[in-house]
Amino acid sequence: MMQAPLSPADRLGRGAVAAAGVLVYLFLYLPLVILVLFSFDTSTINGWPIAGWTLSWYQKIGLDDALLAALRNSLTVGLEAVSIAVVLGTLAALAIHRYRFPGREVFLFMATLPIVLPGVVTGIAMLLFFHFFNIDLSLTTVLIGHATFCIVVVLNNVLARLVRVPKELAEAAGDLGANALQTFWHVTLPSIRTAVLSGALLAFTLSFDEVVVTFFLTGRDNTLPMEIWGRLRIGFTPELNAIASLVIAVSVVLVIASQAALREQA
Amino acid sequence: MDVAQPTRLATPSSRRELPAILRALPLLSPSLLWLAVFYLVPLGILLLHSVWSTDTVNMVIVRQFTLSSYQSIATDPLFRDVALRTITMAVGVTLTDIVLAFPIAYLIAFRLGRLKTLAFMLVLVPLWSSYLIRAYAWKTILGLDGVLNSFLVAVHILSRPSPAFLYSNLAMFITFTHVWLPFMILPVYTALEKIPRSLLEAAGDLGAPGWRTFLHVVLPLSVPGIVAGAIATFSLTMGDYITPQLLGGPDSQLVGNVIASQFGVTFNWPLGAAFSAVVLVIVAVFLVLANRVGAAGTAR
Amino acid sequence: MTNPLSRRGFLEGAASVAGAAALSATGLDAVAEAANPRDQRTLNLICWAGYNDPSFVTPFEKKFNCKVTGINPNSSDEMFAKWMAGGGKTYDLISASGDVTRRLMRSGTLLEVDVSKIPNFKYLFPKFHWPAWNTMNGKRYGVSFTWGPDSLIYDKGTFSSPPPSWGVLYDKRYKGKLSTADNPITIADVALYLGYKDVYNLNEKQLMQVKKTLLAQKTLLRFYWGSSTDLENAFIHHEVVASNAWPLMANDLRKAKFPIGETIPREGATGWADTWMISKYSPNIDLALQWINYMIGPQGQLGVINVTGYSGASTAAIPALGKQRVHALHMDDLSYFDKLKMWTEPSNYSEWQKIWLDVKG
Repeated sequence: MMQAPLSPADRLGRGAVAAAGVLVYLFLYLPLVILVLFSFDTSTINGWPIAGWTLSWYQKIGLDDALLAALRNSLTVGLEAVSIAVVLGTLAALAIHRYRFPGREVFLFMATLPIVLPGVVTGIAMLLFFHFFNIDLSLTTVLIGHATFCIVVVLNNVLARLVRVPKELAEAAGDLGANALQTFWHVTLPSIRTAVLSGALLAFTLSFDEVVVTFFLTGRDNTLPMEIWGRLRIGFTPELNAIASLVIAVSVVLVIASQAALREQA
Repeated sequence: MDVAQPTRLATPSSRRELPAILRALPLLSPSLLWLAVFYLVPLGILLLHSVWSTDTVNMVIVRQFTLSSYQSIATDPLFRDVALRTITMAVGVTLTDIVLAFPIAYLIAFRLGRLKTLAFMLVLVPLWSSYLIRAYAWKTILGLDGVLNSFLVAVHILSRPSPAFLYSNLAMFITFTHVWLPFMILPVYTALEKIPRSLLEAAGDLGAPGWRTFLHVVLPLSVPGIVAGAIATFSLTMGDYITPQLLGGPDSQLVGNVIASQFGVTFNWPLGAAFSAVVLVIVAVFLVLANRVGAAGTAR
Repeated sequence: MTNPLSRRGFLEGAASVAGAAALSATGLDAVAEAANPRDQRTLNLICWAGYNDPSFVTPFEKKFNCKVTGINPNSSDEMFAKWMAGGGKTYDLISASGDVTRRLMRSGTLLEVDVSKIPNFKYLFPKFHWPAWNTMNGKRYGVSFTWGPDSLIYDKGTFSSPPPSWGVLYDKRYKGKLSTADNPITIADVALYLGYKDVYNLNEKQLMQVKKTLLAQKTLLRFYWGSSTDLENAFIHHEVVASNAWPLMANDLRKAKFPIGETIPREGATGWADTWMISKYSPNIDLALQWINYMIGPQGQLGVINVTGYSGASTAAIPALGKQRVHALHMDDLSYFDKLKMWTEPSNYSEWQKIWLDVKG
């Protein structure tokens, strides 16, 4: 397919925009680079330029029970919240997609609120809720808070994909004799599988680093961000940079690995 | 209940059809229940607290109807000033993020070929790196003896390090713009990806220069993505109380801080709830406006 | 076979999902306690950083076969919010400072302390037996264990000799290089500087003057410091040259080899004492009392003084500390303590809160 040739001005324009895109990438990663660099800093005061280099902060993580416990809590809360979200969110998305029921628009609107309303409002509303019903603050209340927005993230993600899947496909399968479960498993699920996964991934990401709402819902056990918040402002050490760098490293590895796996599948 | 033949003649199915709501309910009820109990009820309790009052002598919330909190908010210039500062910040951050999102979304969607998905995932990686530590990194970058000042002095743009970059609204603005940027890039990129390439080629074939195609084809089709990103960045800024504490100056309080402080030693939960309700309304107004702009943009 | 997507089938499925979620939710707390065998009790603290340092927590855990966990909030606001949000039921013990102790006492969440159960109480300096900030209606609701001044700290590179007056924090010559604590109780410091005698009992006129002074000061500040590291880093990076602070900051900065000076100006200083208070809902009251006993005893006092550099409210560690340190910490002559205007809740504290919020806004 021959396209009309680009004018020199056009070519320059597009090049400039692409170059700007690269600059934005640099802006996006500048603090990450700084963050990782300082994880090797011998001093605790974040002075620039860095005077001494060490791996000791990474070693300290292994001995830091409180930090590791917080990390464990974050992973657990994230996985549990996403598990709930995947089931509830996907089912709800299916319902909204398949059936035109009264109140559908209202439900859709309500289903955007947890991610649209400011975190401090959600956090305070849930705090008042738990306090009102005399429910102790704990990792369970954190889970409830996280699961709420995770459900919504998965729901919206799956729904966005379902909208592009023709309904007639499922009805045809039904007419051909498949029962609802078979239809779901062999027809619907494959078409939304990646949307469920990407929704789950986004939800987990949001839960893992959640600060603003979690602040109001934690009791005796900290999530990783809560533990970091406490140490950030009293007794800061580059150990916090170290654990943040480890998380970045793991996520980059996962990203590259998932890319390689997807390419193999294709 | 009438279980006669369905009126939809197109469906050859001979199954008896329940009303849509009953068929949807099994799939819907878990989420519906969850959101109703754990989201709507809390919002209701928030509103309930906003019309109560506090008694700091006996340290209890007085559960009697009063509009005193709302009256305070209406009459006290503090809330107006802080709200204005926050809205200005939120709008500024949103507009900047829109401007920043386009080049990088364009780069990924149109210029990176097979590296596209990897490049896109790399936009998400910063979301994994702890908002708090990233904000703290900005302290290192923007401080008097930080990276930015060192650089500017080294290339003689500044003769002396400037204190303007840290402990200021500028510091908060830069941090917010940076931290929320992935939430703007995501929907804008998704929108760009959905634009049929044939449309762009047709515009080019018809002789339209790049900027025209952008203005009349790309931009209108990106509007849903922009709106989604704008709602995210606006709302995130309106609710934040962390960055002002880390990077703010003496004049940098945002509504998030004022609300959060009502739950501290002040123990004025009703006032905090009332101010939260006001913030809710502000965000709702922004939502409506954004959707209006969105509808107008796509209608073109 | 029940069609899973039929109405009844799905309600069954949904119920089991909800049940699984509920089980996993409670399982979460089991994860958190996984490190903790069932016969071992856990003492949950909410306290300032340094007050649950492993150096003195671990021996306590071993001695009483328990686990001690701690949440370290960054400010009085955070500490108070976390305590009240749980209705006093979330934690067993709180290390409250004098600015919030009276509000806590009125909240009805505290246990009246029976000092007959605290043998080491005998070591406590008499001045801490019935302090105003721990006592209400003739009952005591906590035991103080550390105390200290709110002193003026300054960069020796800028000030060749100690600034003689708190006025330095309101001095235009240091515009953009000053800081002050982000806490409404700081109004007492301002009152001190303005020469008011009864700094916790200010009338309308005095409060208006304080507000004026604070508003003028705001234009000179680099930022309001919320926690110790915030301020320490500001000094190290030369963002700030003078501020009010606690001995913790001066100590940390000295350890970092920074030329920090610490002084009490001629107008005097306010002071604070930290008190261990017990939740009346605690399931571990006896263990909590043991904790208090430990913290005012020789091992606990030495431990916390070593970690924080604060002065001890108890004499128990004086032999171990040695004459020099005891003198530096003013634990030999408590006339120093007498000169401090110790934090306590002003009767019109809500007005102080409002003024502080207005100034910062």
